[in-house]
Amino acid sequence: MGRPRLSLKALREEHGFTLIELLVAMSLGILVSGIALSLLNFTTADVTRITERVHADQTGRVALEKLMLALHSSCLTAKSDPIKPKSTESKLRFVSETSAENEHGEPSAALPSIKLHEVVYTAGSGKTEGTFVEKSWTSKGIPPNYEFNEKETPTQRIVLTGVQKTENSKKELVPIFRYYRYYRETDSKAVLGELDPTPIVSGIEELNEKEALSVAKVSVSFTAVPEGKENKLNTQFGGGRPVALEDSAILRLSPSSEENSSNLPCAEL
Amino acid sequence: MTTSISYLRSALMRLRGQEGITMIIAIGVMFVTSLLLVATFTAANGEIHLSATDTSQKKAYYAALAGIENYENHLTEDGNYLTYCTNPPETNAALNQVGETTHRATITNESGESLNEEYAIQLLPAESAPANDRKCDPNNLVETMLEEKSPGAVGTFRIESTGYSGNQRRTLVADFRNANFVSFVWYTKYETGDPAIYGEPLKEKEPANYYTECSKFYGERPADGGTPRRCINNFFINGESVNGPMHTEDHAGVCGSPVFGRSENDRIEFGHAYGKPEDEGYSGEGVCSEVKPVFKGKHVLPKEVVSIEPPPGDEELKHIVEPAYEYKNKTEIVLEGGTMTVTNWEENALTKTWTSKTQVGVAYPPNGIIYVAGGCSVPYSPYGPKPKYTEDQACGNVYVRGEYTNSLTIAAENDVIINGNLTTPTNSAGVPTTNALLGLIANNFVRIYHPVKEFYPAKSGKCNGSDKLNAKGECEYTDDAAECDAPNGVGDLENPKIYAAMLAVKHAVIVDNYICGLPELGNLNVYGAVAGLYTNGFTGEFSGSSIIHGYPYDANYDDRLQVEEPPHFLNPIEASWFVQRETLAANPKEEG
Repeated sequence: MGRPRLSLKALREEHGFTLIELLVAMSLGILVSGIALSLLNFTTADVTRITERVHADQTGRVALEKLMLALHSSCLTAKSDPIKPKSTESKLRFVSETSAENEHGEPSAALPSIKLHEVVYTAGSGKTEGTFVEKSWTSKGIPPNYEFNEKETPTQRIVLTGVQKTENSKKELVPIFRYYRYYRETDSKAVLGELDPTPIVSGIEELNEKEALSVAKVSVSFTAVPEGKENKLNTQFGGGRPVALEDSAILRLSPSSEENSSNLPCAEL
Repeated sequence: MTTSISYLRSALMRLRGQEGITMIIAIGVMFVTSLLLVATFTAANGEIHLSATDTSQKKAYYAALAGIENYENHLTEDGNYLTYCTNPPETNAALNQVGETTHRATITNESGESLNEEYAIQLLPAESAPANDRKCDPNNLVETMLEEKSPGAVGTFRIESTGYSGNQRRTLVADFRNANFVSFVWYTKYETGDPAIYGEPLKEKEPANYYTECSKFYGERPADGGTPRRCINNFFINGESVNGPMHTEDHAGVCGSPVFGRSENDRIEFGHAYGKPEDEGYSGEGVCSEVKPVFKGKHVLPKEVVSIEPPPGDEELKHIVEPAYEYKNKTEIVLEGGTMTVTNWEENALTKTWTSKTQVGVAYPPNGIIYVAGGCSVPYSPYGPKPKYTEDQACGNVYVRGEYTNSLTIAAENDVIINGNLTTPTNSAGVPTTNALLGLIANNFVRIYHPVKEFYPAKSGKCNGSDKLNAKGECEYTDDAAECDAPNGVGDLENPKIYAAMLAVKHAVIVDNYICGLPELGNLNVYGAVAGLYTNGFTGEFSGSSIIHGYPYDANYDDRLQVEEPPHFLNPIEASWFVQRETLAANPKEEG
């Protein structure tokens, strides 16, 4: 076991780092610190990005879930027409109602009135964000002949802000609302009992009365973007924030039939 | 050699050295890596949590849906499944009385492995259930489970299914309803005439079963024809339209291009396949060569039609009617909004004479049922009719007319005779504006009052058919199935309007003297449902597509009957149940 021997001579020596060594060391220090700070900055930004993404995800999912639940409560009578005419790729018009509680704290048997909902997507432009706005009207009339006076002022609420159309893998914008029906015997290459994968309307077309009567599935697809960040969608740091969400509701009370059947929405057979 | 050793020693020393920036770089990399890891964890944690919640919510929804489909499946296999309440013959782990969710069924995959999803089914009592029996009670099933008062839900029952996945729950409420007589604007078992339309059998010529053999399906009953003609079938002819869903257990006769249904939503069900499995359920029946029906509704082939059998009689209503609303013998009811005037005939036991007693302003029965008891010693014949309108005091017949604003079912042990308009408040389009529904149930016939003149002038000194020419040169209308010339009588209904669901359990809906009188009385306007054991088509007589006697139908389905029915309206013997409505509801407050 040796022990370093400190000599007085060595302690008295005054030579040290040369200027060059010092400059090199400082440069290296600055470089390393710079890299570290950059990484720290990037990481902090990423945490913010992630937080915003999670927030967008959360609000988007909640809005979508609520919409889906409402669609799942749209078969209010057998053979009814849950989706209403004039629905488009940007406007979903449907009826829905949930079972309110009766005096016994149980879901009530009667639905004396139901609601017509109109969910409209308005694309953002400039500093204006894309939004989902829902209008609703309460019915009059006798079940199942519910009537709606759309001239009356509806109840209105903003469902979600920061909404954009989703881009698919082919860089095409996916419609917000898509409507599907079951194959019919008169269709070419009909597979009875299955949904025709081609949406009923496209572009700005509106569902007409006959088409609306046949809608048995609605798909909702959108991208939720953190507030105020829509226009940074394609920037390096904004690119990861939007959350693409999609869900669909099949409007049937029983499984579809492969037999000689039209498989209309809310049909019991 | 010395140089090489020195070089190696120097290299080893450098490797052993701890000075330099390696550690700094390593620490820096670790620092940044750890920051990235924290960021990744934050992102993953947030998104995984959201995704997991989202997935669980969806699983819970589909588990709840599975519960409803499970119950529906049991009901399809056994139409009486509800009667078992929570104790069916084969144990169902998910069944609970209201307020309980302790019994749950686990959803498994095809291999029987649990998917960690469960559902619990609660049998929801009717809102009209007795306060002291608010649960599914097998001994009091109808009162405890079937809705009797809720507008838009009368005749339905409900279950609540809650799905569980992770810590998420979703609850669905399904309303079940059966396909019954009010589900169709036109229901019949046999599309042939009731045996009563043949008049009194000439016993010496015809065997006793000459007409009763007609009570079979097309192809199994004797062919339309013979002398005297028997088994006269009904035909839907050119120009006629069935404005609503339709069901017949039999084969339908079609001539020309009648229209069936209003839209794809109207099921047109012909239930009897004749000859071949792919039979369409209709034909010209050897009478009409042109058979081109127009199906606006959904034509359902016989092989897909679910049978709906009428009950043996309406006596069950006798057991639930409140004593104050059970009448005996001939009764006349005039509906006046929310009250009624009731005239009832009674026989004086001493004098053997009949007198009537009238009560004004009678309130509607609380349970919505009026029952008129009593058979009839004189068999009904539409010709005359027999017994005459003035001679049926001893029969359990109810005459009814007027306007109603509350729901009511009027049933008779014998016949229901509509002797005036039966209306309810409507809008300008004739569509009812209230929830009030009227049911008319007759054990035998639901009849439209249509008197004709008993005596009428002869034409060129001759009378039609077997009508007698008397000394005054008048014809006397007699009971004969052949076409008659007797003109319309006093009190005939012009363009009668009937807003009701009618059911003739053992016979048919018919117009008295339907083969008599000029067709100058307009249409028989029915807004509701028409159901009978035999065809309801004998309301008039046609020559080609032109009416020559009686009334042509103008029947329209009352869509309100899709979702509810008049109080205690009779159901088929075995009914197929289906989900009528499915909505989300709040999750149960109490968890087991």
